[in-house]
Amino acid sequence: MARIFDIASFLPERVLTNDELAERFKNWNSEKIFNKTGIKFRHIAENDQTSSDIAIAAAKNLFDKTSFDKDKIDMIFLITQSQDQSIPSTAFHIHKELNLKENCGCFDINHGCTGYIYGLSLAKSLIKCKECENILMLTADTYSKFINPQDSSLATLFGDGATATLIVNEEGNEQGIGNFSFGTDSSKKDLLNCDYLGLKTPINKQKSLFMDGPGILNFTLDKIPKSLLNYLEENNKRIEDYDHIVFHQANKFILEKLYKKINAGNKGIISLANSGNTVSSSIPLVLEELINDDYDKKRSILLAGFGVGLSWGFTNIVL
Amino acid sequence: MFEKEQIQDFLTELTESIELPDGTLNLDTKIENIEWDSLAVISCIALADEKFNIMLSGDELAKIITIGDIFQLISKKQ
Repeated sequence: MARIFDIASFLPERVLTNDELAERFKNWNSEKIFNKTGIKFRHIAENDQTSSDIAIAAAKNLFDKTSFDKDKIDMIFLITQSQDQSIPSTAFHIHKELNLKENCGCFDINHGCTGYIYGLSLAKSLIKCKECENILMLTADTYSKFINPQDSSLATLFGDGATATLIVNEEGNEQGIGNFSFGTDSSKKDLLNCDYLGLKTPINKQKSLFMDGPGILNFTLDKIPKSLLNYLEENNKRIEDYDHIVFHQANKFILEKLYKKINAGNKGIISLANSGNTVSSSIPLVLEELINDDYDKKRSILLAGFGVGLSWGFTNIVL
Repeated sequence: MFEKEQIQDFLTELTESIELPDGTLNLDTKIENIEWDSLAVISCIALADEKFNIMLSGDELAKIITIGDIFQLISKKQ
């Protein structure tokens, strides 16, 4: 059975505080920013610090933490939307810098806030089909490089960061990865978009990250609770069956509304004060905290990703 | 139609959510006189969903003139 063996992360050293943002956006104050977003500070990559740099740092933290023999890794993939370059995939650079073995597959996945759920699904499938035994799944994004610093709704929310998850095949271990459900509303694909790093829009006309906040909120409140409850019904599960519920850490405001709508009680975790919305890294950052709190404790956790696409995806794990 | 309590409850929570002094909002309050920014719009969308199970769009809320218009929008969708 595929299971998450361990998770580590890396957040860039530089931080952007609410005080700095309040200085930039005069009609906001530091307290209001925290009250609405639940974020104290976001980490911002240096100008010359890219997704590969932070993903490599996260992977090294994972190797240090686990003492796992990296020669046993037979697949690595990076979930990112802020790749180092278009060719080759950023994962190849990471493979080289980590000095991983030749007999190891390597690719990128372009996915945002649902990316970690997609990654878990893929890793589980590769292990179940016996194509792989040990997979290093990385998430890394530097959305700060896509954001206009004067855009208050984006600059307050997003932070840069990377995580490394080791997924292994371990027969007879009950800690596993459960069933998945995915959904897409591509009619709303432009509610969260960025031209950068793409060929469709000429470089001199490319626009920075755009988010239609109200539109995303409409989608999220309408679609996610209903779809999640359908997923639970299809799997004969109830909210009560889980120890924790971990949604993509978009912001405190939306998480409170969503957890309330599914009657999550005190099971729903909100933990983004020290990181902000880190896109595909937000779920594994929470899982890392749970693991670090007590590695041996067995917890049943419901996971939900939603956002860019617009997309959603659910699964459950025992961690 | 809305019960008086429903309106008051909504206004109280909206006032709190957009951090205005208590009692600032009533149905005649013109939004040009308050800070009707993106946060206010988002708070209003979430409240309408929570209290009335109605989804208001950002475009609709960008066009309102008074707070009372929010209830017009909600009643049209009920």
